[in-house]
Amino acid sequence: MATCPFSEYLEAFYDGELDDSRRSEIVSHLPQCGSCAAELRCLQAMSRMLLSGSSPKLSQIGLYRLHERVDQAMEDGVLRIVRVLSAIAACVLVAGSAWLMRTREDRAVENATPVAPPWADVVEASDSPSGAYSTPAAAWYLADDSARSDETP
Amino acid sequence: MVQHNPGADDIELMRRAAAGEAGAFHALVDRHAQRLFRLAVSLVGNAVDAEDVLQETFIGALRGLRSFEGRSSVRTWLSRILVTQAARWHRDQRRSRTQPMDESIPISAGGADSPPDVGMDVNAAMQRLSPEHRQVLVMREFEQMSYDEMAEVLGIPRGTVESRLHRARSEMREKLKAYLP
Repeated sequence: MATCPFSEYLEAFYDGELDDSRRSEIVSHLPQCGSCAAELRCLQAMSRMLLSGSSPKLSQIGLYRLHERVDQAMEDGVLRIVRVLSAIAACVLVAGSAWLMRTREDRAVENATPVAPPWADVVEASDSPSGAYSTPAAAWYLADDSARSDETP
Repeated sequence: MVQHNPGADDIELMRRAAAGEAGAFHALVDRHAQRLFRLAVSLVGNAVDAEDVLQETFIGALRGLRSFEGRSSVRTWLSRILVTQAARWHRDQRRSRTQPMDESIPISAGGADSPPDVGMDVNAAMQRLSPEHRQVLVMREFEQMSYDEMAEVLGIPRGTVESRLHRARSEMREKLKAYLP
């Protein structure tokens, strides 16, 4: 049996998915074609059957549980943000404390009384016109130096 | 006369929910829960798992509030999340079960001993469809979605929607032929 060329458009026609011109063609074709009319009746019957089946409804307690779960997810989201912010704040605090300690140490070093190097006295002594050597090291150094100059031929 | 536009209300609720208004999101839940639950039951086959899928759908929507750009309707967007969650549920089921539950549901139509129950047989026939075929049939018959909407929700071409829907209807017709003209 040859199939009607319009049959391939029947489902789209039934679902309201055809453009106007094609829809008009089908509408005028249907009264003349028994197989297409039967096919359309079958599609309608199946839709009725599907819709007449038990339509599940979400119970009140189910809806309540759904809202509760949403609330819980919202709280989790807020808690996650709070946790991230706390972690960032803790990092800033630790880094800030370390920086402060370092700065304080640097200042302490800068403010400490400078310790005179051992040769400072030597320089002072050699520059002094009186020739008084205040430290034994300076005396030794200069004495040794003059001894060496005496030995030079 | 002021036209009531539920889509526009949805967009407004989405905007407020994205701005952190919890009540707006709860209003969206109230608005779409029943419809999505029906879709979820059709996709997973039972109310208990459908409730879990529905919860995951709204949690997913809550997390993705800021990613909603308004290019599709809220209804389509939520349906798309639901389909994704249902697909995930089916994957988990396949991992944990050796025999799918669908195969164990008998169809009584044509049986001589017991009177046939149309509702039960329709549900059983639906569950014996492949998930891909069941999806399009439910979206079309229960949700009255257009081919374009279904294509968007499922992320497939419109032509694929049409061919899947045609095959789903052919299978259902074969399974329920005892009831059909």
